[in-house]
Amino acid sequence: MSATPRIQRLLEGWGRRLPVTARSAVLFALLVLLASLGLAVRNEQLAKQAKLEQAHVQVRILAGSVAAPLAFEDNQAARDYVDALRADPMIAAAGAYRLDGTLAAGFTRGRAVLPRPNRLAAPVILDNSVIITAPVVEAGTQLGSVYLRMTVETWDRRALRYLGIGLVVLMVSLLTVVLGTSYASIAEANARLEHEIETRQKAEEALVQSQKMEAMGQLTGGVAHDFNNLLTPIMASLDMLQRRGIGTEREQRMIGAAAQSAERARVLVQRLLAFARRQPLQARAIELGDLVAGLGDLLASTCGPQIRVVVDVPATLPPVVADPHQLEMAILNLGVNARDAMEAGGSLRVTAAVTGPAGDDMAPGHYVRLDVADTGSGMDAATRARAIEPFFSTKGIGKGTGLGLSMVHGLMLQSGGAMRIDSAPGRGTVISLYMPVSDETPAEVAKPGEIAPAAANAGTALVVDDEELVRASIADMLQELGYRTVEATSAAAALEIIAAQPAFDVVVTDHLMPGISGAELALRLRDSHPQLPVVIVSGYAETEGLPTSVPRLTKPFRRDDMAALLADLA
Amino acid sequence: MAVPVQRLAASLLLAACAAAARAEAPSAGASLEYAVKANFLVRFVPFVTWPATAFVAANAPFVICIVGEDPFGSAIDEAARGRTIGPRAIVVRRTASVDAGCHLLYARKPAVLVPAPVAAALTVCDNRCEGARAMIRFAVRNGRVRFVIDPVAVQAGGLTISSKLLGLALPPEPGR
Repeated sequence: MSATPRIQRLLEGWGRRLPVTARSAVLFALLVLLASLGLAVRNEQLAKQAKLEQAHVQVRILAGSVAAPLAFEDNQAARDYVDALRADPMIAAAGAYRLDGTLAAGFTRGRAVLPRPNRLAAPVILDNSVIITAPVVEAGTQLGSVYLRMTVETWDRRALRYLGIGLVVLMVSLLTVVLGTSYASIAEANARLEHEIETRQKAEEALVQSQKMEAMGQLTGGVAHDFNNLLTPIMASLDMLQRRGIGTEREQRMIGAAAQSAERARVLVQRLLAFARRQPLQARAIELGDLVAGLGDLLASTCGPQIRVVVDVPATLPPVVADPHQLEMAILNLGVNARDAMEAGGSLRVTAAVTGPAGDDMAPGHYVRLDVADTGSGMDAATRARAIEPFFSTKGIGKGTGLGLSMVHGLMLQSGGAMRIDSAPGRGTVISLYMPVSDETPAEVAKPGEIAPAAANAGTALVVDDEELVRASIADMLQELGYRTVEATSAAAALEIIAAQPAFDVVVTDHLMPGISGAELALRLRDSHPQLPVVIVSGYAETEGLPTSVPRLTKPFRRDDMAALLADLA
Repeated sequence: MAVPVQRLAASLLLAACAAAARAEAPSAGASLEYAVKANFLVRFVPFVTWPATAFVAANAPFVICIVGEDPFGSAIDEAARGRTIGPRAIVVRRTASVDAGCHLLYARKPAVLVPAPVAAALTVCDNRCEGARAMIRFAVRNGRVRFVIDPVAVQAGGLTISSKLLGLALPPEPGR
């Protein structure tokens, strides 16, 4: 049982070393034919030689036996001896000659003739027969001579002999050609199939990985979204308690600790949303060169003195579409990863160039590729495959969240780009960020100024939210900002209130509500009350039906965020 | 190759003699029969083996002695002329009595051979030599010259005769 696979392996090894092609099979068949032809020629030579030796023996026997008859002129005895050779059908002619060359006795068969007189000569092969002569000598005295003509092999007999061998050789050659060509085509098909299987396996693996990521994204996104919603009133309430200075100093400390934890929870949720591609992005055209140059110092101080940071981004790069704050976060994240991979020091290079799509998963068009390259320990294939999974970390417990690459990956996908990892153990890691080139000119962004102080009497605000806690906290914030507030539990209720009392200065509404959504409410109000500003509060990045012109506030938020937005509206 | 040699008188004596006469021109006075016999005497020599002691030297001549009456005349001299047995020339000598130094003794009258033939000599007598124990005796059968070999005498004389010659000889007459 074990011999069969071993032989198979051996054959496969041979096949690999001697690639069987149709041409080589034909060549081999020709070689077989040539070899058998050579053998046939050699065989023929040997047969002639053997016949020659046989004729030698015959002629010597004849010479010996006719010695006495020739010496004593007994022609009858000579004839008897010569005629004895008739028994051999291969002997065409035989003759005994006297010393003077005259014929004493002889016979011929067929068209053979006896020479008259006989002349002694070296044996010759003529017309498929051996002609041989010999002197008749007794005790050193020549008494006469003999002549013998022997057929080597009759033509029909020879044809019969070679026909069998020829047929076998021909069959072998044909078989070689047929088997060789079929084997060659099978081998070729096999190679094609193996390649196809390999390709398919890779595609399947990629599909499984992407499905896994998709599922993780869905789960993470869903949890993060709900958690975000829960976090909004917590933060708002803590914020309010803190600002109002409610409670004793000890209670204030506890409120502060709770607010800090809530803030950290908010950051975590942001990252999860980023991975799930659900973070609210404020993507716009930006100058990548300016952004990266501005990060240089921060990267250097993050990485420490042991790591040389080189930022080499040309100023002539076209603008790209990205959320600048998130992109900065992403680059800093990569910087931290690089630092952790280079404990003994090294260098970190940030470079950028214009390029095309880096795979089928990317839309055609122009991209700017930003490379963040380190000279650290690198990743093996298994680590590389799982690098973007959330909570997958090689840094050890407490050192990293395992969300860094996940959120960078999510950010790039959400921005219409992609992230690629090129790494091998001991060779360092290059993370490439692909961002689509924007055809818009980057707008000058005004530095946010001082937050406008809360106006004493800013006006009347309508707060629309189906969740009471969120609604109450938003109303509370607005009141602190000097607004009088009216609350509505749904968009329909809000429309009724506005219809009855149209003197509102601003409408702050949740987006996802039963019945009419916040976006729809905003669109309706824009039609009926074009002068009435509407702010949409949303935890979702999803923008279907959400007009870009409508100001948005991302959950969770604090009073200052709200104040800044309202100041912009004014 | 054993061939039963049939003895058929296919040719006439004259025919045989004519064939012999073609080879050696007969001298005047010698009959055709004796011309043939003279040739036979010379041709017996290659088929017989003499002991080495029969010759005084390695290239000593081979001596044919005609004892007493010479019926051949010049025919025997012509048959022997130019003939050699290996390195030995053939010499014909005519003597009155049996002489030492002869390798082949021919006597027409059997009485000559009766006493004590010399050692190691092939003795040949003619047709009518009953009583003499010659090793080879001529005979004429159906008009052809033939010969009879006495193997006992050959063995006694210390000679060896080739089977080829024995095969051509007539069978010895019964009772002899």
